[in-house]
Amino acid sequence: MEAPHAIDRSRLLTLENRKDLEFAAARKSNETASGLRRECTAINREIERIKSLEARTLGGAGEKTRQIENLLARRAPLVDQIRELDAEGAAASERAQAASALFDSCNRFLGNEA
Amino acid sequence: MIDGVKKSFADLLKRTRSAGSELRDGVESIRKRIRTLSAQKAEIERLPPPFETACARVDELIEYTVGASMSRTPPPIRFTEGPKAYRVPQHVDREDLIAAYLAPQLAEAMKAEVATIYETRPGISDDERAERLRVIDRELLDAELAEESIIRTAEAAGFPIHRRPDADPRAVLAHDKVLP
Repeated sequence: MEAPHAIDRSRLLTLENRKDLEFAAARKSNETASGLRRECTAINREIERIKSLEARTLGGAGEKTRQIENLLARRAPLVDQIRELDAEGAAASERAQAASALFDSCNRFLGNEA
Repeated sequence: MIDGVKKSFADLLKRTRSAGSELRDGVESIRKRIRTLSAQKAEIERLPPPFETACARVDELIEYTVGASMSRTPPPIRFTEGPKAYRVPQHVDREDLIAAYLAPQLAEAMKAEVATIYETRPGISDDERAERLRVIDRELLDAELAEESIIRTAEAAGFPIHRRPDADPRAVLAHDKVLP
């Protein structure tokens, strides 16, 4: 193997920043998805509560159906968003692992060089 | 007037997209080259040593086996004892007997099989292997430096391209001045 080229040790910081950014992006996606999941759980609970009620206490069967449909309509975009966030989170997590592996390898390299 | 501005924005957008795409294509083409070189390197590492080295390995194994088997085989003097003293040796392992007395034939048979392998897959000397690895390592490093150069250009232009986790630290940490 040839002698190492001119090494710029400050580049390690750039790699560390990249790794931290990717981990932060993965965390953010996961946290946002968790928040939306909690919201979906609350909506599901509300749907179950309405289903358990007698139709007449809600003003008739039509009203009961309308309320459930409203809640389902509120939930649908949340489910789509969760799916997107999960995919984004998984991709960011993969990039973070790759950035982390590269950072570790470069860190070891500089350690051996020192 | 507005149409002109719209058109120039559209042109700019098109050129920007094209630049990003060219940078990504450039990196992908270099990565392909790196994969090819890495495969060639692995192939050189797997090439057999010279035939003589393989034969020496066979001899080494046989010598080791024979030594151990000899120590477990009754010494020839046992069979020359008088009728009163002679006892049939007990607990003699057939494999030890074969190894102790047929070792040269075993070695020859093994070497003949090894020679058959060398007919289709010639070996290289340690020096030749080291030289070929040195050349390919140099080519690999040059390719990785070119890849890093494109990645930094792309980053500066606002088109981040992710680095490979197994990229060579000498390229990733290289000073700007040594990049092509």
